[in-house]
Amino acid sequence: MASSIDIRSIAKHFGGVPALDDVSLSITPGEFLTLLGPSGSGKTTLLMCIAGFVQPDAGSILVDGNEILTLPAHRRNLGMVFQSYALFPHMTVGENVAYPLKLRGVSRAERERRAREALGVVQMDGLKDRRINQLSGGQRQRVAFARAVVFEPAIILMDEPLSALDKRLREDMQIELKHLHQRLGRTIVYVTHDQKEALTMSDHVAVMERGRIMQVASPRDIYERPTSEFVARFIGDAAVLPIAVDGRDGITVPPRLLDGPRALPCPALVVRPEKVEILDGEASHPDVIGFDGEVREVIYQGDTILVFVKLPDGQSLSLRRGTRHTVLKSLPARGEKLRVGLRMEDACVIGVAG
Amino acid sequence: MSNAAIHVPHSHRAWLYVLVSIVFVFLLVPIFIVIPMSFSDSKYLEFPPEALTLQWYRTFFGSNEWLAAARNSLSVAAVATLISVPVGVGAAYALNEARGRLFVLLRFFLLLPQLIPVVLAAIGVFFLYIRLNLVNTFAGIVVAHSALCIPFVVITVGAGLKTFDKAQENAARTLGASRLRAFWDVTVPQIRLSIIAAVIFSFITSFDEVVIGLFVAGGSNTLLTRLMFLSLRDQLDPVIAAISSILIVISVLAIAVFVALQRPGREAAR
Repeated sequence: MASSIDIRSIAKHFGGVPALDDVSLSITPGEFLTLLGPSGSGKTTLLMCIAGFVQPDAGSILVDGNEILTLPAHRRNLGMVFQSYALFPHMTVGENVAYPLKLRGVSRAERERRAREALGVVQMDGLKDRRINQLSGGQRQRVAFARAVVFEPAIILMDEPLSALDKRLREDMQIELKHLHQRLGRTIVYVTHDQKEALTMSDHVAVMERGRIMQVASPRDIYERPTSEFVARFIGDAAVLPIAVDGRDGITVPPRLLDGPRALPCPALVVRPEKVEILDGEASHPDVIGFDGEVREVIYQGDTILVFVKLPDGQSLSLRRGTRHTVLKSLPARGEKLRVGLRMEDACVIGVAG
Repeated sequence: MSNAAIHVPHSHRAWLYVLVSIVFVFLLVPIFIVIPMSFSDSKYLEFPPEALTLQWYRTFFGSNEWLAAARNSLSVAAVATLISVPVGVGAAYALNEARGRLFVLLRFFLLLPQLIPVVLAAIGVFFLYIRLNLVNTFAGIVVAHSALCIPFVVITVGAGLKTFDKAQENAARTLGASRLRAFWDVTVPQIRLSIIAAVIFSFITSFDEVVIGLFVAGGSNTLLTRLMFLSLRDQLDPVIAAISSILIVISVLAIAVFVALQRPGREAAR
């Protein structure tokens, strides 16, 4: 039903510029994996290599252990949802969904039954005689998904399928696609540049930059345990504060925070705004890393309020709070001194370039 | 964007009306003056006609020489269209896919037959055909006309492909269609208007062509336009006006059919 994908040392250059640089990635059957990265990071190129529209210069891609790079795109049996949906405007909704079955020589009655079924899965069965130009963006999205799954491919590829929708619909569709994935159990490779989308939907997220995979991990680990400054800064807000070791400038942290399996030459502390606490006069706690600072700016953002704090050594971090009345009342004003803290469990240490 | 906001009084636009009228007069009158002339009972081309007759149409349909030339023109135009449209569609597709300086050059070469003065092309074709023994042959005329038609096909179909979302063809391929099948099932139905336009342009281009025909389409393969040109030189025979009128009606009908096809097609394409 679902297939595994093994990407091994894929490299691709476009006119001497590396688009993919020795990319390896294993995707287990039934997994929802998201390739996340800024534009130009190679995520779409990698997806196109799997789909068969880009031929890599080197490497191999195995599906259930079989090489697919030697197969043309139409023999790979992958369902794909495109950014523009790529529905066929000269066919009805039903004809669009039945098209892959027609190509496979499925009989007319069977074609109609299965197309109806696939449209039912995305709650579009009532609209099978509509023309594509009569559909809204969200409906097109659903039809494109139905068309990509109707022939029961073991793998579904999705190239920023929600980017054309407005924010509210996009968020609804994220949940809907996540449920469809759980229900259908197919392997999904999903490309997006929207980190929140990636965290919401995926089993694993592969963060890419400049043709390389920087980190592959569960959404929670990608956010809480980034392994590089790029990942820490690309996902969510983060202050990356160099730690004073070996005579280097930086903040001071309890030495046990640096006891890890590997010693980092230039360690830095990743501080997420929502994990920072305000310590009002409490005695220092052994599990809290404390900082003295001064409020530089307070920004009200509706659901949250953001406070920028300047540390004595010139670095800064921010803290975020929900806008409950009691919180707003107790927040310090600009220019005030305060002491903030980060619990050891919320601290993440990464290595940065010295 | 209401109309009232940009309304200009008619008096301010008088110059536009005058300009458009001049354009109409110079474009259309020469074409439609021919039709009354073809019904004139005078032995020479005359306008306005003093009395009306169908004699010149009878002469045309009764003359083996004229009918043979008309048949030649129709078959040359048909075969030239059958060659230039597939070749031109293929070329337009390739040029649309490809990037790079080589393809800019290639595109230029494909358009060249319509860029150079046709007399030069005709002289070149004539000397080449003498070497190849193709002068006054059906194949020779068809090849020369196809070369003239291909630029039109490349331009019209190329314009059609520009507005086509390439992702649709890729989508068809992921769904299991080979490249050719994807092109046929998905691309062709959506650029069909440009292809129909290319067919009409090609046919008319070949059918209307005079200059190359004068050089290399003689003998039993004489084309209608060549015969008209020669007879115009010898005597100002109203038969020519009759033939011209028939051609005008055919052309207008072809364009009318195209425009009629275009309306529902445009909506479906959106």
